[in-house]
Amino acid sequence: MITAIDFGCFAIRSAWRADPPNSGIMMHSAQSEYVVLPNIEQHRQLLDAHGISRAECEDSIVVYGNQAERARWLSRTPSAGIFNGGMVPVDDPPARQILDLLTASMLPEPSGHGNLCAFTIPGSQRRNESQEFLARLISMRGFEPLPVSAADAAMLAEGSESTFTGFAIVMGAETTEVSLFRLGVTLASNILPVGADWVDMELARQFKVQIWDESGDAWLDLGAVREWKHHPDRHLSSASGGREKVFGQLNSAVLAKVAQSIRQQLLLPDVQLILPDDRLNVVCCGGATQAAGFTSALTGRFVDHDIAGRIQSVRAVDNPAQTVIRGLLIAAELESRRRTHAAA
Amino acid sequence: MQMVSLASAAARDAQILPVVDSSDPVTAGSAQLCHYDRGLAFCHATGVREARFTHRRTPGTGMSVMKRLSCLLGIAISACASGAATGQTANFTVAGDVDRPDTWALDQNQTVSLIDLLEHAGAGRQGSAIILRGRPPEQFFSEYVSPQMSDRGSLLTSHDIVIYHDRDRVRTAPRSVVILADAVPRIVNLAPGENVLGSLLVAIGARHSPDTRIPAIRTQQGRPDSIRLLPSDPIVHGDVLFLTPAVQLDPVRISQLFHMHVPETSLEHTTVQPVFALSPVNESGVTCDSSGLLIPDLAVDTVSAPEDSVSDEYSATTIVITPVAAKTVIAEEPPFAVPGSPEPAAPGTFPAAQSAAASPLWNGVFVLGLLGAIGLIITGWLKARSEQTATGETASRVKTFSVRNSVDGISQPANAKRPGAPEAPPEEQTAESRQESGAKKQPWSPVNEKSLRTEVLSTADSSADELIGDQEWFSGDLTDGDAPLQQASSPESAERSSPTEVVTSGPDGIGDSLSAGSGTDELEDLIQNRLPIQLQQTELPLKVTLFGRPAGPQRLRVDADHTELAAPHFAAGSRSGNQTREADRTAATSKSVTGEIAALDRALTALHGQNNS
Repeated sequence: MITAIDFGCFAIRSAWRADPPNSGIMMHSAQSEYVVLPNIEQHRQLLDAHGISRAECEDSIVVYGNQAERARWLSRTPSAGIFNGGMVPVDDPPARQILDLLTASMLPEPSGHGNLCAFTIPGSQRRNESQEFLARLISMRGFEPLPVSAADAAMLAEGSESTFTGFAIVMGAETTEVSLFRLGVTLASNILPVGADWVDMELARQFKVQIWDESGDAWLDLGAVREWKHHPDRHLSSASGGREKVFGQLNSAVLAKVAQSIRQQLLLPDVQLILPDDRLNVVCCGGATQAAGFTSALTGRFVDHDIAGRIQSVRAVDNPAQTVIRGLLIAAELESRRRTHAAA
Repeated sequence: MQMVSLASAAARDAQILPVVDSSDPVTAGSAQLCHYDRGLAFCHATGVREARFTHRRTPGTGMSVMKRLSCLLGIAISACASGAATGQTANFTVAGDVDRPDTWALDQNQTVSLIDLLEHAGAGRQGSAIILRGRPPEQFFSEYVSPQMSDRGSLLTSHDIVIYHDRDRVRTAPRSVVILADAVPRIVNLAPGENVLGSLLVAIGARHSPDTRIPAIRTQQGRPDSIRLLPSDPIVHGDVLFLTPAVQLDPVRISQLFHMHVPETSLEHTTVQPVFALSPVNESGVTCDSSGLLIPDLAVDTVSAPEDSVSDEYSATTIVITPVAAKTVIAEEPPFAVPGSPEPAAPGTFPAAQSAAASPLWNGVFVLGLLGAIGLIITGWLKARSEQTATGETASRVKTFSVRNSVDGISQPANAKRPGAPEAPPEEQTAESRQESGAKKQPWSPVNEKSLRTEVLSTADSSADELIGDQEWFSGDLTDGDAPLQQASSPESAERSSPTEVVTSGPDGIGDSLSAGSGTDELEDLIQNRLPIQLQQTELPLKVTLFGRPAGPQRLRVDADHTELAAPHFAAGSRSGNQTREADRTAATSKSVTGEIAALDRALTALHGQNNS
């Protein structure tokens, strides 16, 4: 059985081929966050009455996954990310256990032989530790873990029209992956430790988008910032207000790093040897790429870095929530067939 | 779907390569497969072998023979139409930290790269070059020149102005500026010390006022900065001054001063070397050039300048523009070799600038090559037509991917059978399924599969037989001993170098082993996103018990944690018992109470004392 799970810092998504074949893809998605509530009787009764699943810790109640959205109003602190800082937490035991709960709930029961599960690794730091932990979670579910880069998955899912050649950019919540491919083979790759959350946090800091808890402490309200920036009127290039202007500038800063990374990859000796003068397509994936004016802003950064002549087109995928997970399924499927042929 | 074309941006950056920063360890380092810098991982997993493979598989992966020959024919026709032997010239100006700042005239059909021009002008090996393009210059590019460059830099076009600044700035190149006063950019050498724009304007007889602002490009910092200079502003080495139309110039005087050569016609295979010394002179009328030698005062000073253009501000300095033997320079060193010339090219001449336009012999070779190309095109077309007739099949599908066997290291050509590999089923078994999905969206243009495959197989055969030797990495006969392609050498990149490597087979049939697979179409449906995705609700356990204390959203907290708490301060009058005094003493010794807090304490104590009384 072929499955895939994308451990994203914003959402965890899993998918597998439905039975019978050609009937589609089954997909699960859960927010990778949790809400901490005081462990009082009223909260327990309320959660039970609404059928909201919960986990009880020492002195608090934790509501995780998609249920966190329903229970957020009970707390005066914002939701906490499971991958706090873009990596598997090492100082948050409940978050590690929540990861196990979500993995168990989102993966199907293994069946047959060759149970393979392709997965991504979040973050840019301590990725080996994260990979080991997540692989262990998958192994506990009866699947053989197969780590795949998010950029690789994006290219597999969206690169068929460009013969799997070009750049794949995956702008996640915590990191941005930039990889260069030629015929599906990774030539260069880079993980930038900035993503959409950095933009949101800077916006919240600069414009004091905060909430206060019972003790008067202030917290950045990323939920409000996300709600604001997802408004269809927001545009990266044509700002109509101060906050929107800063929003565009912050995104521009991130995109400048992306363009710089691409320029560095193009200047690598091997890349110059293999792709000397080719004009390359750029496929952009991730929630941040859906902002209006994203492709224009990225094109502007390419011009700034003198690499516009090497770019054929910039394309943001239609459905970024499904691109990486579909690419993971493709990777797992290919690996399964490779093994089958090798065994034969 | 958002799509934006970069055609306009690419047009601006046409032929301009990106800036190469050799000081960047990421770009400079090439020995390691995986490079880490400031927490970023830069992995380039494909080595020389891949490159070799790339070049040798070009016939299979790139255009077909027909397309190549068509392109060749097109290029040949365009070259003929462009007037290869018209003899028109192109001007290139180079200034800055170069030994021979000058404007060079070349045949318009010659290809001149940045490095060629800089080498000939006597530039250093490492520095930044500013390219001003357009007539007048409207586009500015910067390019870093280093010995590590794998190519010859940007291709220059006619009327490009290149200002080079050496990185070390230790070269003793003459200090000069470029002025745009007429059709050809002029180089004016600067004297030691400070030079002001007004002196230059006076020297060349430009009519101006003290508040006239001259647009200029300042390249001193290694980048083009657009500025506007007043006549009182200093001009520095590497400046490009746009004198027209900001000031009124006297063409006759310009011609006299610069000993003008006709720019377009007589410049062919010669050089214009209008090097002048612009230097303040002493009262005796003898000036010093940049090298310190005395130059006779030949002539053009401010005394002879129009009175209305000379302000008192500049009268204290007498400017002498001294032509320095332009003809001598021309006679000493013809900068570019003339094709067919019996004289050998001088050292430093352009290897790529060999003119091949005027030679009748070359034209004959060109025509013969053109005829040969036409013949090859016709032959290939006839061959393809005969193969299509022979097969008689009309399929409309080309596979777009295949599995690359990482054990073998690389996918094998279609005709190479792996040991132990299953026999591929006959084409008829898969034709039906292919035709079913053939009506769907395909990334490739509809072609005749059979004919395409036949054509590519022949290409692969020739590729394996002719280009790749038996002892080389890819010989077409893969065995277990063949080294797999190493994707990465570090643990960080090992996760990316998963055994799965997808390559596009396209028309070259690399993935024919997959054609036997029953699920190829399913996989292609997955790649083409033709499968519906059903989002299901995740069922979580209703109640579980976790161990530990949740960290919560600590990084979203605005107020920093208090590292120490202030001690409580109670009224002295309310104390009773030894325990309270002991607690107060502990608090008093652990925290220092100062300033306003102490005053508040005294006020509270007095208030409590009043209440108690």
